Amino acid sequence: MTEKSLKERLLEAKEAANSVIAGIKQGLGSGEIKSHSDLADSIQRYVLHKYLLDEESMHVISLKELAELSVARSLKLDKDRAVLKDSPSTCEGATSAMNKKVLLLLAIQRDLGIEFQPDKTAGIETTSDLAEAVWNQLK
Amino acid sequence: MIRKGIDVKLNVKPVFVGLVHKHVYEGSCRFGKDDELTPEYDAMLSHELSKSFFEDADTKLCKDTVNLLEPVYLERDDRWLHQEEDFLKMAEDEPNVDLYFFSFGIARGDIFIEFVQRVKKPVALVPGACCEATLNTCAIRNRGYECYAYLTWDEMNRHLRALRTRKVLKETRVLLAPRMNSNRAYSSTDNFICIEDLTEKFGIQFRYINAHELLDMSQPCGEAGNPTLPGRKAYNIDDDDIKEIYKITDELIAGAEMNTMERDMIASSVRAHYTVKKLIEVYDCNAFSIPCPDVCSTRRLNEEKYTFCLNHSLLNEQAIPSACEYDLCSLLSLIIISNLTGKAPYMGNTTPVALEDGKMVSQLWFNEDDLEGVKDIENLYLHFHAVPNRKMKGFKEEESPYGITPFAHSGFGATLRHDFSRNIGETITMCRFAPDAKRLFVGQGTIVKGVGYAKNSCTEGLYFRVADQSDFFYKQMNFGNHTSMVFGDYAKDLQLLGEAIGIEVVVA
Repeated sequence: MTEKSLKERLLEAKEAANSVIAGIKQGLGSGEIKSHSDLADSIQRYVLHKYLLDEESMHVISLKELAELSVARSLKLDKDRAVLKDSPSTCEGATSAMNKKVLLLLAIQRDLGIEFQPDKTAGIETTSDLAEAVWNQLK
Repeated sequence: MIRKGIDVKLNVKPVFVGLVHKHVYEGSCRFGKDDELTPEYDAMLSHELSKSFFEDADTKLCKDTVNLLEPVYLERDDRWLHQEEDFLKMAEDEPNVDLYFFSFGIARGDIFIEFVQRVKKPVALVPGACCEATLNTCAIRNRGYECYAYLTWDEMNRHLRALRTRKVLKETRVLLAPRMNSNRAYSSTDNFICIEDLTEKFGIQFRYINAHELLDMSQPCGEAGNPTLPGRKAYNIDDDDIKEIYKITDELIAGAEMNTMERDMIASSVRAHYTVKKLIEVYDCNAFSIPCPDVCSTRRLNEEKYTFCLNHSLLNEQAIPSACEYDLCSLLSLIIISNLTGKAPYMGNTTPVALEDGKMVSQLWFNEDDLEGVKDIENLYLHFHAVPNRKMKGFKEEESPYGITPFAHSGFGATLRHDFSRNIGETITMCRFAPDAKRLFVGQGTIVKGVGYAKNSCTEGLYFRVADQSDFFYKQMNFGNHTSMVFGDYAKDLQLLGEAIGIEVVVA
């Protein structure tokens, strides 16, 4: 796979994730989304798009496992860029999965205009946890 | 209740120190892309890292060794301040802490150093700490404090077993029952030169009971009291104890695959054990020894129809170290090796098998007939006594098969027997403290043959092959006769313990 292929994938994924966010905001506005379980599906799709994963991973709810699948997927697409993209830049000993999870949380915060408490985010381990955390901020 | 050393745990307190930058910037120690440079990223990542560290500590540290205390999470920022409340938070339960267990990245070692200087307790760094392992360990050690870092969690667990054993020594209280000299007995002149040294150096306490008073208490007490304590209420065996003694006796007989003793004779030895264990509890001790020739020559053991061999076997398999012959160098060896390995040791005479014209030179009850079937008789050693036990494979393992024969030819003095021919090919490790309490001998070998299973007295043991018999012998002679033996290879563990308690370890 070429450099262009990963870039294209990233752009497509960004647009798809934005579309999910737009859907969430619309659902909140219309009253269609009334609880965190109503959000669950959308959150799952959002994560899959951010992680460049497809429908095959729809059943995987562990954020750690999804991050690891994402790293593996990126390495297949373009190993060198994937390493640059996913590896943490700090000296803290963080794993790629940790780095991806934190960046995901920051992205969803920004996209939905919410703010998680940092001392609570480590407890968000699944997409269901994430849906609940998002709902608690939005309601 | 007897507070056993095996139940002592090392209290370990995990501490995580995160770093949250206050501003977005890159520089000579900070680099990243986009969100990675934000304070929010740092804060969330710190919590991810601390969660991972605390979970690893909980799942990867051996729970038999470690009691994890409430973990501490701290953050510092790039103003590089030292917050007093952070030091107070880390030190909250300091009196209970045996080891602080830290995880942190770059630019937090100053907090680490100051904390160690304040509390003066041992510290360790998480395995896989990258540069921080060598960087900070050297900083602490060069200031004269204890600090440890490890390549793997397995190595950490191994080392923590050594530190736990060091703590066990401080919580060891030995009940000694001398008749004459309270420092050594007639068959253990290779004993510690000064018992007080053990208290000063390792924290072990010694409590004494007169041997005659102990022997008196192994019988129900008459109206007049014991001969040694007339008119005074003591801790004699009573009718309820006798029922329990016979219960234990019948269980021993039922479980034995071979028994050549009468029930009442076995019960006499169980009575001796029961008395000793009762007194260990009364005196709030957790280890024991009593001399052999000194007490034997009173003729009272002959009258009572018991020896203390069965007592030593049963106590050792219950993780209450108990040494023959008032040999305190062996007692200390039993304490450390049982706690390091989780196995009940076998204390015995350890002596080389000398050859002349290619044949074994007979010694005591042992001769070349014992070695029938053993092709190579070079570099052999003999380990023998009368106190094997049923938990030599581990306190948590199933009891091993055993027999019962008498120590005395007249039929008293129950001894447990183990057929070491079932363990041919297995590695063994043994150890013994030197009388100066500054050195530990560690020997290793491989079992080639068992001996004396169905015989009486101190004939029960094994022949084992060492790498170099001459080297083993000339090193052993600086330490003494008896060693305490366990199955398995534990030379490294004993070396780690030696470093932890400040003694030289000599390996053969």
